[in-house]
Amino acid sequence: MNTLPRIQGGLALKRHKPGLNTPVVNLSRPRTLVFPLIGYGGTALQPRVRVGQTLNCGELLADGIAASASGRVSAVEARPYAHPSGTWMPSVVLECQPCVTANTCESSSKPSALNLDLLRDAGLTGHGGAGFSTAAKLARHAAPSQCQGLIINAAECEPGIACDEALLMHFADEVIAGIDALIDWLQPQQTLIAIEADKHEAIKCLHDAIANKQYIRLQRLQPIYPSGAERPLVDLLLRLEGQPRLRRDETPLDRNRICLNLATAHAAGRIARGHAITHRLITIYGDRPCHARVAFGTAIETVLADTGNSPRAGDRVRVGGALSGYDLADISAPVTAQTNALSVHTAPSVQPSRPCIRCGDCISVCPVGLQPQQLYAYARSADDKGLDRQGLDHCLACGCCDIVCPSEIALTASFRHARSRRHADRLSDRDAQLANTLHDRHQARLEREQTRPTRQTRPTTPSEPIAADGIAAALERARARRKS
Amino acid sequence: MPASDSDRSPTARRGVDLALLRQDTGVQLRTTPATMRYVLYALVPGTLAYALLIEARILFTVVIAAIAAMAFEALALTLRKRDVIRTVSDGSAALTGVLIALSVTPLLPVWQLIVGAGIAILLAKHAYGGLGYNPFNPAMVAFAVLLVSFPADMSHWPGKADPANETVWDTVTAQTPRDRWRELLREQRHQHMDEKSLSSASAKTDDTVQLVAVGWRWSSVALAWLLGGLFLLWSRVISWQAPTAFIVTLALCHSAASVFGTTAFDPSMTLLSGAALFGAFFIITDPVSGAATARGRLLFGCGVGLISFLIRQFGSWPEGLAFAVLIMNSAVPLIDRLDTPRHPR
Ligand code: SF4
Ligand code: SF4
Repeated sequence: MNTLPRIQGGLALKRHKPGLNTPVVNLSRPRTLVFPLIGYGGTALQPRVRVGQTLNCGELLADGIAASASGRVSAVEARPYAHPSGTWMPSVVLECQPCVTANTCESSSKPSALNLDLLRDAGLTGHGGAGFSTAAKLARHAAPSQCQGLIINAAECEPGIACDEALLMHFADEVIAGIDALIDWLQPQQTLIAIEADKHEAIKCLHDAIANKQYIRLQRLQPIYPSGAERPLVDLLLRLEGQPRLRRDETPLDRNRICLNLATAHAAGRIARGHAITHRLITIYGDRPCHARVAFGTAIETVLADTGNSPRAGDRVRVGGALSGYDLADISAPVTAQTNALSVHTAPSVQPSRPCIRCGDCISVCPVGLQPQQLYAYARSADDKGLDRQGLDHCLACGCCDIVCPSEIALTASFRHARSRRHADRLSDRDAQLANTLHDRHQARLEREQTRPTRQTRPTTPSEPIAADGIAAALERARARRKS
Repeated sequence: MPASDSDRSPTARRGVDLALLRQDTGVQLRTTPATMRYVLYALVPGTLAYALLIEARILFTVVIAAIAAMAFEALALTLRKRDVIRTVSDGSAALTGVLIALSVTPLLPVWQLIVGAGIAILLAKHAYGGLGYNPFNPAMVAFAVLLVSFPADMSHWPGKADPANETVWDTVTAQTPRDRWRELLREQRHQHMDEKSLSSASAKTDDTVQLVAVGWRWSSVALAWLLGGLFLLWSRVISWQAPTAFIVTLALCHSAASVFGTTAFDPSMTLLSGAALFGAFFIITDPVSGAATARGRLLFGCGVGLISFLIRQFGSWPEGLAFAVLIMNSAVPLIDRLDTPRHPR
């Protein structure tokens, strides 16, 4: 296994993939579906629908959000959404016919070749976790015809998340159909599926599915966390090809490599076949570990109850894995395209951290070559220059540094915090700049008006008494009316 | 502001759930207290060899210094209103005390040793904010202050139990027989110039015999330090960069010096006699006051090696390690600055 390629840094963690031995559960769709109006990176989206409007399955509610059932918009209001803070967000509430089979969306159009508009209209966002619009990602790729490599990311490295693996084990043919649709559209010079070598079952299914497709190559990797993160993965694959590595300012697209998550490719295939994106596979890990096909908009509470994983008092519910996930404040929040795993577990005692002893362990595991201990020092002192110099923007928030830190410092959380603080700062900076510009223009206009009083067309002075008279007359009239 | 207990709570929901990860994958990495314990274990063979071959009193001074350091740590934490039990039990103070006792002469009066522990803990550590915030190696600060304040006591090294020779060793101003060697060479040179008395010449021969014996003992201790150091490397408590860079630099400097004829020191003698191996594995590997990156540690080790060579060779102190470490400690922010990631992967 050691001859297989591995990413730089990272950690070998024991395999923990719950719920793979049971058949996939098809959850029935509830009567009420909720769609938070949140886009990539937490941006607020404008709804495209009105209250009372009836919608067909697959119609866009907002950019990147499609209705997962036909129904009527009963409200556009604040609802809890899947976020650690527990704040509520404007959401579209859809009332629909409950559907027990929950198999596919009832309305499906004709199959067609993939293109940007099709993806955009279907509201496809990455199923990996970040939730970037797939159409926007591919639109950034200058010339789709020059795609040198299509990379399907099946390296699902985080312990506790196995939905891509389950997808391969149960729907390998659909996945490959999706990849074929993408190949037909993008015409890549080569296509490869990157997967960790310890997913034996999934690899077997994949082998069978691509047995007579020579143009799809399987690239097995050492199971190292976080192989599934896009940058380290693409960097590794470039290294294998003997290409120069990704520079700091480069994205995979700059090197004509398109990297898509396996579940995203699967969804793209469904779009090509004329279906709407309505469901996704979720790893559920609690009393009864399993995988379930869940309609977007279903409350997480319902998902857990229907699969027999309801939390008991004192349990915590976490979205995503132990490393990149977060604890839910409110479990009535709905499932979105980015909900890859749900886990219910008892609250363990959290040790307070100790001071950083500069042991350097975090440096040696960081997959992007950052110096977490230094970043941490800058994050604590809110030193933005230092954060920039150390490359905060390149942090994957993978959590490797947290795992090895002997002082058990919450490094990743502090980086996330620093990032959102800086994001907010930048926004308020922009507002302040806008206000400054407006003020400057206002001042300039005032000066202009003062220096060129003669050019004013309307004589202001004589008009004033007239206006005053007019007002007095109007008041007089009004008083008279009230008396009568 | 040092790390507080509330570090994890505000962002706890968003952070990495180590407890869940451990439950799921069993991953359990070494904690900071465990790191300190490993270093203490690694010091055992060297300390035992020291006690057996050089001076048994070292066991006593080590214990006293460790207790004193922990007491000062508890005092400082009480004054600073911190969690005393949790912090004292991390073992860092005890380790500092042990390192002080092992770097000074085992014959040092106990009160001076306690003063040293106080300087290390109160002045070098807590005045800067406690564990993790001290820019200078606390043990080396204590060593330097003691050396400057009590030069006579600090240079009173155990040589030979024979009182007849006590005067000889009393004049020796260092931790190692290397200085005795240096003196002998100088005297021999004098002898060449004026061959006066045969008797003194024979006395020198006696000295040399003793010296060889003492040298053998010190070399054994040095090898015991090496053993402990290898254990630390193997268990990944320390990384190889700083010790290797230090030893290589020191060896190169001494070979160069002997080639250019200023001295006749044998590099292996240099490495096996002095505090070199002890320093290489237990002093310059202190993570807090050293460089944190791999390249930084190479640079740090080279710097300490070069400066301690220069001090030994041209300075008035025979042992330059403490001052070299302190000087390089002050260069660490610069080294960190030089090694910021320019092209992250
Ligand atoms: S692993 Fe933790 S203690 Fe070690 S340098 Fe990094 S932040 Fe500091
Ligand atoms: S969370 Fe960021 S700093 Fe820490 S190891 Fe991952 S990429 Fe590096």
